[in-house]
Parts: sequence; structure tokens; C-alpha cells
Amino acid sequence: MARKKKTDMLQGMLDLLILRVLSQGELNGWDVMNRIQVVSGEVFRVIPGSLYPALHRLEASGLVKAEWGASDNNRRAKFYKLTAAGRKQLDAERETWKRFSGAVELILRDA
Amino acid sequence: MLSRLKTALRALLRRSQAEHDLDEELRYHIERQTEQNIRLGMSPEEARRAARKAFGGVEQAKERSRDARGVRWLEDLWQDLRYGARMLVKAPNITLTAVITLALGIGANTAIFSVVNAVLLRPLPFKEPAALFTVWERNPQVGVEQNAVAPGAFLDWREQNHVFEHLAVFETRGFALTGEPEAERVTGASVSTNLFRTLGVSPLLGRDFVMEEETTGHNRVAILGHSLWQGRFHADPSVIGREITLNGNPFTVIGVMPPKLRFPGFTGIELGRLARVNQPADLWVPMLLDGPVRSIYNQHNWQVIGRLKTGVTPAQATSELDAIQRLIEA
Repeated sequence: MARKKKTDMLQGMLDLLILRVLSQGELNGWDVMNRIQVVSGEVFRVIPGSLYPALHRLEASGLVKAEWGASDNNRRAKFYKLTAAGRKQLDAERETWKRFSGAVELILRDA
Repeated sequence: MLSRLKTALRALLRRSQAEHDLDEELRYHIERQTEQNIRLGMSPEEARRAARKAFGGVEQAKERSRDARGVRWLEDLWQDLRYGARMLVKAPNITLTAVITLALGIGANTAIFSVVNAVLLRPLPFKEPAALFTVWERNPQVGVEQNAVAPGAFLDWREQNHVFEHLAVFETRGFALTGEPEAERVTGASVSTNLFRTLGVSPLLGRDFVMEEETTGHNRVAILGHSLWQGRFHADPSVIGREITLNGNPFTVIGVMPPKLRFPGFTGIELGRLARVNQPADLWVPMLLDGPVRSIYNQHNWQVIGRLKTGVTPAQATSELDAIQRLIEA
């Protein structure tokens, strides 16, 4: 049970980061992947084999919405954007993360 | 009967539409990756092959599952993810003691990233790991408590501090390694030439970087990771002195590191499929630290790691770096 919780937390982290980069506008999968890598200072690498399942899962649960549109030089690409539910989820997850990381920080500093 | 047939047919159509969309979405991704590889100096053919390779097992997984349920491959990938996550969860406890964050000042959310990075230090082939610290910038006025370090700040710290035996910098990055036998994307890092001295590791073969190799005209040298050396170069000792092509530029191989050295690997987490978190660095090249980077204080891209002198506490180190930082900002 405890183990399951921890695993969920790490999955949730990918979801959280995806929601966050989508909160600034709609992006296709490629851009989501690169944005996460660049903004994290290359600390995080996202491989397509994890990214797309995550995007599709977020879409299935109604947190993001996907639409086909034209990308650069007019190729068809699938663009994802946050739904209202996704935005709410992002706020909630962000709070959870802050509490979590704050708690770890306290222990590292003082324990 | 007829209505059941209709339902089945509709489901089939829906599935084939979903399948088609999936193909198109993934094809778009592979095209973008291919273009990036070409910009990194690969031939179009090499670039396509490498892009497909970077996609991992997805294509095969998709192949296998075409006649199964439409989203079966997604579920398989999530299984991988769960497995990988478990591996990662096991790691942090072991490594927490090895590298802690020495944030400048006390930050609010400084710990997480350095903990995750530290996974790469396993299995700790380093001399006295307790003296190793990662160092970050912070700017509480704008709410940034742990920031990567700007080039100018790092150089000032390195030149002016009296608390670190060594202070080194690294930036993880990918390279296009072209030429025989085939082009591939490898992961590695640009590093200050004292990184290995900071960690306390020496090359297995050849030599370490020298200070001069941080300067223009002398920086086209590379040190290979053990697994790249064993794989692509068949553990051939005569690789020392040989020329290799990275991102279209010639580099001379000067050394090979021992097998246990993974640092910095592809730092931290491969989000999602965490199983490859221990992927070691394939190679290292020197950063260029003369010239224009000296005066860059507003681009925070680098990760800094230092080895404290014996007897110096993290608090003393922090206050000394803070003092240097105040001079920068003055």
C-alpha cells in the first residue's frame, strides 16, 4: 500500500509537469517534451514512450483537451491544452507538491 | 444480430480512427526529432534512424498490440513506468548522505532536485563523498530559492573562494556522434576541466582534462565513458588519440573513465520510464570558460558541485560564497 502511494506520486509528477507547461498555452507533444527538459535545466528527460501515454491518459480523464491543428510549416499536429478541470487539478497538485517538498526540506535542514 | 454487427463495426471504425491518429501523432514527433538530429550534424538517413531509436520500444510495442486492444501498448508502458518508479523510490535513502544541497542561504524548496540528481552518484565510487556538495544560486526577492548557476557567478566563486578544495561545473547534454560504424545520439556532459578531480576519480586509460582545455582553441578533446568505449570502440586501448566527430566537429579522445563512473549521466529522472535513471554518461567534453561566458550573470543553466576543504563546514562555505555573490551584485 505504502509502495503504491509512492509510485503514484512519481507518476503524478510527470502529470503535474505536463499540466504546468500546458498552462501557458497549447502545445504539441514534441514541444511539451522539450519544454520540460529545457525548463528543468536538463535535469528531467522525458521520452516519447512515457510522454504520449501520459498525455492520452490526461486526455481520457478530461484534464487536457486535444485538437488537430497546423504546426510550423503547415504540418498537421495534435495540440493539447488544459481544460478547466485540468487547471483546477494543477492548482491542487501544486499545493500537494509544495507541502511535500517543503516537508522534505525541513527534515534535510533540521533533522 | 444486425445491431450487434453494427455496434462491432462502429467500434472497429472508431479504433482504426484512433489508431490512425496515434500514428500521425507519433510520426509528427519522429519528424521533429529527425530535423533536430540533422541540425546536430547527422545525415538525413542517420537522423531518421536515430530518431526512431530514440523513440524506444514504442514502435514495436505498437506493432505487437495492433490486433489486440487499441490501447494495450499504453498499458504496457505504464507497467514499465511503475517498475521504474519503484527502482527510483528505493534509491534516494542511500544517496541522501552523499550530496546535499548547499543553497546560498536557506531555501524553501531546495532539496528535491538535488536528491534526485544524487541518484546518479550511485554506487559512489568517489573519494570521501560526504565532502561533496551541490551549490545553487537563490534569489528570494523573486521567489527563486534554488536556481541553476550562471557562468559568471561560477567563475567568480571558483576563483575567489577559500573553502572548496575544488569547485566544478557541469551541464548535461546530448551529442550526435557520427562516423563509423553508425551515427548515434549519446548523452554526456560539458564540464569544467576539474570535475573529475572534484569527484576524486581518475581515468582508467589516457589522461584527465587539463586547465588549458577550458580555453578557446584547446577544447576539442573528449573523455569516453566506459560503456561507450566497450561498445562502440570494442574496448580498444588505441582509441586514445583518435579523432571522433561530435555534433559535426572533430574531437580528440584523450581518456576513458572507469566503469563505475556514471556522473552526471543523464541527470536525474527520465520522467515516466524511470528504469533508465542509472544510464551512465557516455562522454565528457570541456566547457569553454574563457571569453564571453565570463560576463554572463543572468543565464542560469549550470550545475555546480564542490568538494569542501577538510574542516570547513557548509555554513562557513555558504557565508563565504554569499560574500562573493554580494560583490557580484554590487
